[in-house]
Amino acid sequence: MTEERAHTDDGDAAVVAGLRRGDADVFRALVAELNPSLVRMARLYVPNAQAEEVVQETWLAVVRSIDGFEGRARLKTWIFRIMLNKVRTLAAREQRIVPFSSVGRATGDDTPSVDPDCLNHVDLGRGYWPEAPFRWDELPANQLEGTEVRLRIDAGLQALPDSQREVVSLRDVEGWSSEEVCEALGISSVNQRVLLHRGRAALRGMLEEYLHD
Amino acid sequence: MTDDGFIQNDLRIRCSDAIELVTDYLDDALNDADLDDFQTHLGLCEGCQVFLDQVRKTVRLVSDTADTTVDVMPANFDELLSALQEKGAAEEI
Ligand SMILES: [Zn+2]
Repeated sequence: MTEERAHTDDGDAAVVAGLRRGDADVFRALVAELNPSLVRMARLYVPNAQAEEVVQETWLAVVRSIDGFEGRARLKTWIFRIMLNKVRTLAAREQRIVPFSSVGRATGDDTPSVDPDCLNHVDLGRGYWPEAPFRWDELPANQLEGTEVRLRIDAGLQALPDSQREVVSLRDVEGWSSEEVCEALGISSVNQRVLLHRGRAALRGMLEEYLHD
Repeated sequence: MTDDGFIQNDLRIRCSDAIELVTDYLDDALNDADLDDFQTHLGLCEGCQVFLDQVRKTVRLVSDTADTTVDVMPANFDELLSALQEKGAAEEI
């Protein structure tokens, strides 16, 4: 391989070649693989009907600009970024989210993952669990996996700062790797892990509080 | 690791420090020294073991919330396919 393909896997090259020659099967498979994920992510920013429109426009943009794809990013994250640009522009126009420039804001804070007042051991002092946390994670499945918990988690995700919600959704809902998320969102791996950690810790805290009684 | 120099017990690090390492641990992103501290602490601290289990459980529950009723294909797929094929055909001329 003479071309530099540091970030793409070999599968991408075959798919891109297929798209460029108008191969229906290749296109259908790619759309089927990524469309649900794109729609779910677009819904983080705009209502459902608009999210579907944005994704349709995204696919049109993919068709029109695939010749210009240079393989510096994975095809998947390149497509995702097209969607992200469109949906953020739309959402900002409708003032549904904070301006793009403040997206990284939440990374600078030092909010601890567990309330420091809950970490105070009788002998060891501050910074240590007084006793192990309540084991809500061992509750029976019918209490953990019902509609009610789902709705709580959805609401918890909505309540996260945008930058945390993006990372948690891509990593934990869509199952993307940290490398893919960094590439898709244009953030560093350290930043990505901080946002993921803050988001997960907030959701854990929410579940603990909800399931405690 | 600590501002007060040395932790006077076998836990190596405080729970409040271990808690902030959990996501890096799950991503295999800890350096050797932090990994050693984290695992030693975890081996002795039930509270942090539970916290780690609960973060894992949280991740699983969050992943279960993915809306699987989303349409696999966009409503305008036929148009998209035509656009792709027209472009492909045009380039072959
Ligand atoms: Zn601990």
